Amino acid sequence: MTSLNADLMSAILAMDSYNRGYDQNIILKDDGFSVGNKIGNFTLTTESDVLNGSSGVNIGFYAAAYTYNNDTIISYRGTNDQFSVNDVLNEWDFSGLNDILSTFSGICLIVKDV
Amino acid sequence: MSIGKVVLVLLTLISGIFYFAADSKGATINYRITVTMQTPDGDVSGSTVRGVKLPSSAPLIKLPDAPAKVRSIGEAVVIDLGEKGFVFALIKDTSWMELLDSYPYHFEGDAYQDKIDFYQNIPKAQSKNIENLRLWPTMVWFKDISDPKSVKLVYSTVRENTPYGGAYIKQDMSEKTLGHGYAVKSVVIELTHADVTYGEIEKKLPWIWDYKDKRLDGNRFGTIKSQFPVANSLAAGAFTTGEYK
Repeated sequence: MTSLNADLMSAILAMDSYNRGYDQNIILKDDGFSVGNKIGNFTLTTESDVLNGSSGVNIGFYAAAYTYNNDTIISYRGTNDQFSVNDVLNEWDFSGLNDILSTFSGICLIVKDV
Repeated sequence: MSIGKVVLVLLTLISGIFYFAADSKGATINYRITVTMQTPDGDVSGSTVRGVKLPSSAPLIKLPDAPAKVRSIGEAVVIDLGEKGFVFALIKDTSWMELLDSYPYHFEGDAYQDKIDFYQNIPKAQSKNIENLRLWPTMVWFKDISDPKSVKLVYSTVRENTPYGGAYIKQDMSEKTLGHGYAVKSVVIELTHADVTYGEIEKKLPWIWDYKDKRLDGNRFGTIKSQFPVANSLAAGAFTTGEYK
């Protein structure tokens, strides 16, 4: 891959994670399970929590690892709408502020598992 | 500007935000879902009450990757096949489509509360056959119910690409998994005032809470390396949205 193609592919994979797992923007795969799916030459080899009640879903975090030859790219989405003014005003719920820390710990877990 | 004026401006801003944030109450719409299977001994059905949680008004701070979240709550449908065991019709984050696609709302531009009112006012106990096979839940069966890794697919839909786009294809694996004479026959929903069902899954699968944060094959995440891909695609959340007690 040339440098430009690598950048473009990274951008595509960054977008792809928004359409995988749970709460997808576009439902690409109806069963929500994407492991083994291919995008270009890359194969999705590992994905984080996608099911109700799991730690990753509870914090709005999703990550997928894509592999081609010896390259592995991890793409993630980690912010969610849990930090809403509604929550803060009505329930004094500031838990959304933990999102940054939760996202970081989620990435560490998936890197460990790839 | 004096401190008093600053406080006044802040209070005005906060009260305005509060007013707009409270323009809708949100709602939970409950429905009974019944799955019927054909067996060599006749038809067998199982049912459960699930809920669709419609959020209150969209969050005021709406980040690009934060769609308004409609939530599905409840459990998998349990179909008791006697000596053969149980078939589970799973719940997933898009199970709410069972209800919202069966009763589509066509009035674009209406206030969000109108949409909530529409679903709350659908007549109860009026059953509706789900014709769209894509909306039928994935169904599984355990060869050995004490061994989570032994889970097998009974029914799923897969997306098949065609030259003209994608299509969802029904994959009924009942005969392959359960034997001759088994098939999934129908999935029916009806609106109800009954409470969402919880607790049935724990009775059938007492080990379920060991798999809240790991897949049924024991892996922490979904991985292509798993020797049990069906088990690796499932965890407690596919069977219940309840909480461990």
